[in-house]
Amino acid sequence: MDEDDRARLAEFVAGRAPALMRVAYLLTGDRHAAEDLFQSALAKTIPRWRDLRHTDPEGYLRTVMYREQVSWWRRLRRYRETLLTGVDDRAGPDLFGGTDVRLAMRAALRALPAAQRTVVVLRYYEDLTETQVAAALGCSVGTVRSRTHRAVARLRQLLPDIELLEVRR
Amino acid sequence: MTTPIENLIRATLSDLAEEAPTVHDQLNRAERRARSRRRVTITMSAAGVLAAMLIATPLALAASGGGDAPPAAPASTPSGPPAAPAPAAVTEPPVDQGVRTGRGAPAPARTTIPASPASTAVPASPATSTPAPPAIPASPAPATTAVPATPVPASPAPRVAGPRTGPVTAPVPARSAPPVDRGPATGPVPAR
Repeated sequence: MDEDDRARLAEFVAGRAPALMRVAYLLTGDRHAAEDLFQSALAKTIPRWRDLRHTDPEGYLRTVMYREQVSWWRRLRRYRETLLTGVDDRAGPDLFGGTDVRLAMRAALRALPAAQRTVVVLRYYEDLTETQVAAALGCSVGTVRSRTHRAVARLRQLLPDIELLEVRR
Repeated sequence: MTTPIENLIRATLSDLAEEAPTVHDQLNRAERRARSRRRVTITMSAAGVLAAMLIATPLALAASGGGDAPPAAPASTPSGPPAAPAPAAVTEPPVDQGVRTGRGAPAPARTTIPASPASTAVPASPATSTPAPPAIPASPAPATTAVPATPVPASPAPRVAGPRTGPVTAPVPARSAPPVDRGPATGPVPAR
């Protein structure tokens, strides 16, 4: 990689890293895991930077992040790390309406499996269609639909009184 | 159409995104990781090629060497002549026997040497490598015939007088004894 390519890469990373780190944080739910995920995706993008610089490097990097998050090897490592880390903070009762619901939802999102959480982030944060999500993850549209349905059902199961809280608000 | 729970999911995700950490110097660390990744890839590729060669080479050699006929199995009927008896190598001179006396096949030589120089053909057979023939000289028919030939007293005398080497001279007195025993047996014959 020559100096020109490296300057373009540094510019790209400096400009898009915050947004990409947000997505990585949503995908992983952990600061260190998000940093690791972003670095892994960037390390896989750098060798192909010469081919990607004139196309869509951000799209490639995002796709690498999505697929890396749901990859089998990474899931094994994440499982090992989950055993060593402590229990996530539980949302307690709060006097301010809605805050406890959001905290509970945050904890419920962290409890989702990686594949389901990735679909939720892509569908409800990135606002991608099912077809786009399927293309990004390399799976079928039916898989995206089933994962989304299971994720929402799991969230309803983890937050049984969420409908009641929503109505009360 | 969105449901309340979907709205809640969106709002929660937006809140979470605001809490995302801001890290710096990501590029250098990513480049280091990419370099190590490339190094590991090359190393593992080389190791894989080496392992494949180690496995495939013996198999290829075994496959290419299959054209040669395997060693022939022994025939059911013996094709060649029967094994030659041990006495085939009889050309050894009796002098060598004397040198070999320390090995354990001296008995035939002892009986034949005193017999006479004419009986050199007899000791030649025990000189073979097989110790079986010594049984034959145990009944020294030729020796008995050789003894009366004449030099019964003459042969012990030079032996005793000429002890050139230790191992050779030691048997000499022993040889002289049998002729003495035979002497009475054979003596009367010439006396008559």
